[in-house]
Amino acid sequence: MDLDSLREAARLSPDNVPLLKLLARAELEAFNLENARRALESLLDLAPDDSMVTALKSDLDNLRALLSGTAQPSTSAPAAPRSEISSAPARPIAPETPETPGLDDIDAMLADVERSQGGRPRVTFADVGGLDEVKQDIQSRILHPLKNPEMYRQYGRQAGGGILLYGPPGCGKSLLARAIAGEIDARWMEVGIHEILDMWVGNSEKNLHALFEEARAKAPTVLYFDEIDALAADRQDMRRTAGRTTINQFLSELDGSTASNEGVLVFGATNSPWHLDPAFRRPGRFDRILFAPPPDAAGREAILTILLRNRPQEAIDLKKLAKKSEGFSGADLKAAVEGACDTLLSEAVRTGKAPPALSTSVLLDAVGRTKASTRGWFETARNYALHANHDGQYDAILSHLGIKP
Amino acid sequence: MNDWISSEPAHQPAEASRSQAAWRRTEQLLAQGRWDEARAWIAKVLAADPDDALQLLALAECEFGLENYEEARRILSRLKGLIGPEAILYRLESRLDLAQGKPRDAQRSALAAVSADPADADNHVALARCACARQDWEAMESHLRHALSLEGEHAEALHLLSIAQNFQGRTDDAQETAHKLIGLDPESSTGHSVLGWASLHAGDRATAENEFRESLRIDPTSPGARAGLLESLRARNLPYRAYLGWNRFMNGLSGSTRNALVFGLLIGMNLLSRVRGGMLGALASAAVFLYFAFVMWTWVAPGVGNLFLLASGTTRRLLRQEETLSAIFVGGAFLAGFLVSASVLMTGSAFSVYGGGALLFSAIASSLWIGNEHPTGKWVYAAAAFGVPLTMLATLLGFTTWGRHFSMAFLVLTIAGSFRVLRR
Repeated sequence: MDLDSLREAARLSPDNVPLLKLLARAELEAFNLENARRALESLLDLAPDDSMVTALKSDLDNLRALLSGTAQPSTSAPAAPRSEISSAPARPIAPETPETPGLDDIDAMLADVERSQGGRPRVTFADVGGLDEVKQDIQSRILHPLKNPEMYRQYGRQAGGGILLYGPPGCGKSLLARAIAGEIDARWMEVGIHEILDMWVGNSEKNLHALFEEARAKAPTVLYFDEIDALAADRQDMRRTAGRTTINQFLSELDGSTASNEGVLVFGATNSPWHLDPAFRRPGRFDRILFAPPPDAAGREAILTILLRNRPQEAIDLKKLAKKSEGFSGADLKAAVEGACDTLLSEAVRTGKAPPALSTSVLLDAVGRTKASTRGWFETARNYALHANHDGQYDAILSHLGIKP
Repeated sequence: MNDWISSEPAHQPAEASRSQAAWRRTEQLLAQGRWDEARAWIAKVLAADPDDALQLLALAECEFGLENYEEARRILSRLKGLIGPEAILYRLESRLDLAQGKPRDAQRSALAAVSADPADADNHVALARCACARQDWEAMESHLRHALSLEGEHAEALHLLSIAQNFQGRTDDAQETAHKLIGLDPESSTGHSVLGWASLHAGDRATAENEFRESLRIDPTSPGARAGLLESLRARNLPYRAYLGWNRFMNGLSGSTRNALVFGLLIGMNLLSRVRGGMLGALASAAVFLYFAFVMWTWVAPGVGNLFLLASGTTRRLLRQEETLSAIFVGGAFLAGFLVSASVLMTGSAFSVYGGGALLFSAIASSLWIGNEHPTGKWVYAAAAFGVPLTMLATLLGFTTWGRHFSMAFLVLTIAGSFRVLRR
């Protein structure tokens, strides 16, 4: 039985456990991790104690870890290092959901498409839909120096350093960073705040140092800090001195006070750049700031293509959908597509007939029902760009909103 | 080193560490007012310990911040069951009551907080907030003075005191209190904001503008500072300043005095309008005209003020969508109506009278449409703002140029169309 037939059979018989097991195994063998995950989720609901289901889950986790070059199955974070913290107590367990649950799912889903070896992502700019201006900017300001370090060294410039990516949630910041790592064939290390923050005095600082040491040892490396405002919050907002020492350690690591950061590209991503301590924006730290806007029409088309892949569909007018979903983030598009699927499935349950394929009109309805989550972000961002735009750091937001800086 | 004072114990419970890290992040998010994100983190900790009172209180704060008042109330009653009648719970309940428009309940909750802990300045500030909602500025000041006698550097008490003094017309005192607040924390956004308001009320527009800009630099999301900045920019125009002065005067009065003044003026104008002939009649007519012009001005002044801001490239970008709408439909219609009406002096045409009147009517209806929060109200006033003047103009044109039958048909169609829109 081929994969498409299995999928069709499982679609028509969603409670058939043996069939779902077959499908999950076949999806795994075809490296369709997202589809395998979906089949497994259904299986875990239907037969959570089945030993084969447990084995399948373990295989999926291992495969994911292998593909992302990490040893921690439930996150894409690097393996716990390292002699320096080996005496420290066990580190907190990373959460299974991102900080703002659900909003960055699209990044995770797209990341599953990548095939990496030894932590080097295979995602490149070609895999990032839209964002042409941002990509051009990155080419000239970041990639060129990294690809030609000798040229820059002759002029006393160093490749690497810190880049701050900011923008509304669910707009592909981590995918962009991963693509940069893919472009320069660098090792990818993604860091969540749970891997750094620790309740015991001094441990957070140790964890940070260990991470940087590992990145330096394996250079060229892209060190990616998601929700960086949690680690680099404005010290005026901090009520505790413990947080301040973590910030000081972070600044010291960025400055390369103990060892050179040559070949280490540090990425910080945040939805709230205004809550970052100003010290992080000084030269040599996160001195290159990039705005990742919501996907443009071309980007939305690309994302929709990915989201609709493997779903039964008629000829879809992607241009029309992209036009109607102005201001949508990748996560919003995903919500709209899933909403359309739910509508069809509910209808099928009500009528007892097989659900029809997704059509443009069903998707347009779903897009109409979905609210663009980026609007609230832009309302706040507009205030910061208008009233606290020191050194033009938010000019990109003003320009995106059509306001003259 | 003893284990119990060691920073690295032999065994660290991962769950506790995770909770601690989550709480650290939650504290950050709460301080930054990022309620929805904080809520997600609190949920993670509560999953491990659903009866953690500290987390539940933080969750109630989040729900309050997100305007989920009933959910916040539900958490509060659960907390009362867990930790008993603590003052902090009554304080939050009082804020909930105020937010839900229940000033008497709010007062009762605040009094319960004070009786639970009379030595806590926060509880007296809660009482002051209730007085503020009643616009009882003297009582508000009295509660705040009590709070400040307990805690001299209570930032919120100083902030509210400046507001209370401002509304009582004591702008010098209000400025002094604001300076005290800024002295405690130069990066206090509220301090600069209240100083801006006090300066604006004192007529010092330049200082007010600077203070509001400073407040917004520190906290660009401050609604008070934003409103103040727009007011100070609009107040560059003399007619708008007259409107602000009137507002300030009325705000300084108690509710009953204010009502007595409004009804007194209305009766006075009614009597004056009956005076006919001679110099007295002319003066009476002028007074009645000025009165109605002023009443109309209070309806349309914000829209006209926004129109001036819209006209300037530097201030245009500060306007939000509804403010831009009011600039165009209220300010624009008023200005056009005024010009068209004035043209009657040169043309003597009936068109000028009717046309001007229609536009002025449209300006008032638009101000009600844009400021209205009820969907039906919005439709009704929008229909009035566009339908009535258009019908008047078309009828006039029809009567004067195209014939009565056509204009009557148009009138009927417009009214029928308006009903259809309203029904939808």
